Amino acid sequence: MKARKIRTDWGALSLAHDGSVVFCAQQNSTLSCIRFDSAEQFMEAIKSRRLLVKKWAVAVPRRSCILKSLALPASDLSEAARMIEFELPSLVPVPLEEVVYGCTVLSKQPNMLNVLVCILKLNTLNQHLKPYRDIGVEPHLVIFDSLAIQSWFNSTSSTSRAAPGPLIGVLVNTSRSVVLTSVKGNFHKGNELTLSGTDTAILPREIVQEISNQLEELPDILKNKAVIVIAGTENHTSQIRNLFHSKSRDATVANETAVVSSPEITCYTNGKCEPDADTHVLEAVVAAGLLDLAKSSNVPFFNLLPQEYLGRFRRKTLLFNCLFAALALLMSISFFWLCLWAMNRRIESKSNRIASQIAPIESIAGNVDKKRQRVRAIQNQLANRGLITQIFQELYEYTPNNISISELRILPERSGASIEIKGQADLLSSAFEYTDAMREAALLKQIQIVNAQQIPRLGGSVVEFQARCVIRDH
Amino acid sequence: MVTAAKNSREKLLGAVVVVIVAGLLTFTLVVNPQLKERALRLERMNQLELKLTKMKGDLLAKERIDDIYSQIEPLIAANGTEQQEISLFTRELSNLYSRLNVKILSVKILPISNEEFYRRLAVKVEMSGHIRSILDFILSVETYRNPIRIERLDLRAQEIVDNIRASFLITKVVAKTETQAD
Repeated sequence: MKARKIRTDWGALSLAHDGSVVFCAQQNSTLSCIRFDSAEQFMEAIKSRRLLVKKWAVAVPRRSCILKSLALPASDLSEAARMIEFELPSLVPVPLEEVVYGCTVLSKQPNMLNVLVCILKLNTLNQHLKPYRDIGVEPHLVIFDSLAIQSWFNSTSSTSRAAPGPLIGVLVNTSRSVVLTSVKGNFHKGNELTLSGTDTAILPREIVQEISNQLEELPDILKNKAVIVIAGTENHTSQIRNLFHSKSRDATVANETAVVSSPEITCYTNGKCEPDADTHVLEAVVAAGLLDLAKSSNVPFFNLLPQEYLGRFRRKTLLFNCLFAALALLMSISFFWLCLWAMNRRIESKSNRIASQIAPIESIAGNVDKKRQRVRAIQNQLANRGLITQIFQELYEYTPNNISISELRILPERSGASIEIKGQADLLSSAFEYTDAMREAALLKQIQIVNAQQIPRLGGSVVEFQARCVIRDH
Repeated sequence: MVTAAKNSREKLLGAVVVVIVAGLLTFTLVVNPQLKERALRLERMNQLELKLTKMKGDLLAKERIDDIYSQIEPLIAANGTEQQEISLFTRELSNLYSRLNVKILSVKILPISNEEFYRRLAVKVEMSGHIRSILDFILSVETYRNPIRIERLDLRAQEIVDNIRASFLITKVVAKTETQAD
């Protein structure tokens, strides 16, 4: 049974001396490390897309680097990184274009930054990266391994440590090999030691002695604050811890010790690794530390990859993204255009269908429409015939004798008529009584006086009025 | 740092301009023509749908309309060209008022209103005379066999007792012949 499919942004890789490959990635904030028996097996996993990784992080051995500690008048690491470029010629006797460098903060003082610079020859870097490139991995982050191990110790023990203090990490890689790394002060100072012995019984004593030596190097104020973090297989870690405790009882200083478990490694082929799997603890720890650093905001400063390479990669990525976006946009526009075209085609075919339904009945229906329009015109023409005569009849019948009409305007409409009357009356009251007089009329019962005024005349006066009536629904 | 920031701003601005120009070009050259065509085709389809619905309604009402039309056809039948129709219309009016004791002040022929299948002739007649004569004219128009109609009537009293001045707008509807309708 093969390992499950892994898809991640960052993947860390470490090549072991026996040819196996240790891969670590974080998925859903859980670290998973897989051991591949050979480079071919790893390449097969990549080819079959069981491993989908966007960016790779790898480590170079610390012994390949020249480490220098610098005190720079910088406020932050980016400013310090720019200053280091000018300091490089004085640090190494190699032309600037033949070296790469990375830096990390050791300690901070007011207006001063102590940084650790790792300088590496470009040729050496390429030699170290060749095996990775041979298996199809183009790294995006290259860091020296001690920094990765320290980072792992720091992140793993940060929860178990009561207070921040110097950390001495002991990683029991195998029963025959131990990596010991320490920090001086509050910040990283890589100091990796590899001890090996033929007698496993002697080894713990050597380690404890080395821890004591490390403690001795610390300033007095920090000695009792140092924390010893031991990682590795259980029988070795407990052995070292017990030995260290028994030695501490004799000494005046008692240091805090913590045992942390190293990353669990699964095998690609069957999920479970053979009993000698702890031989790859170092590789797993390096890979896990690389992942921790990859997430850090300071990645650009301790990355040993040349800026031109990263720039080239960024440009390549940008170009790819632009092309992808352009292609996606083009496809979207084409799809949208096709949708509109299809919609238009559908409307057109529906229109044609309706037109084909219209064609056979067009002439008959057109003839009916012609007749309908003529009938309507005649109906309008004949509507309200006799209305004017009837209006005159009512005016004659209902208009009182003291009212005389001087002007009459009739505007017949389809369902009624609008009438305007101008006339005279002897009195103002008579003019207004005209409305009452017409109340009995069938058509003109709604007549209204809209204006009336008394006009003086010779020998008296006369009232001139205007009346209006609208006849509806006749 | 300032130069870098400026370059970055300029790049962003350039990218935004390129995106906007590309978007406008795409809209103008690709999307908009299709949208316009869609609007035109939709309008045509809606018109056809309306026409079909109306035609179906016409077919349903065919029998009823044919019945009514057969009754009014003699009243509306065309009798020649526009000039001939006008001439006939004025002659008909003349026949109505010539036997009455009225004074014709003016007869004005108004522009013909042409509808799709018929035309409306209009004449404005001004006359003066005794009220009884004017009322006789109104009655004769309202009972005339052909579909003529008083559209507007203005009456004004004159100084002579029972004498009035009247202004009529009289219309007549005449069918267009097949060739005239086309």
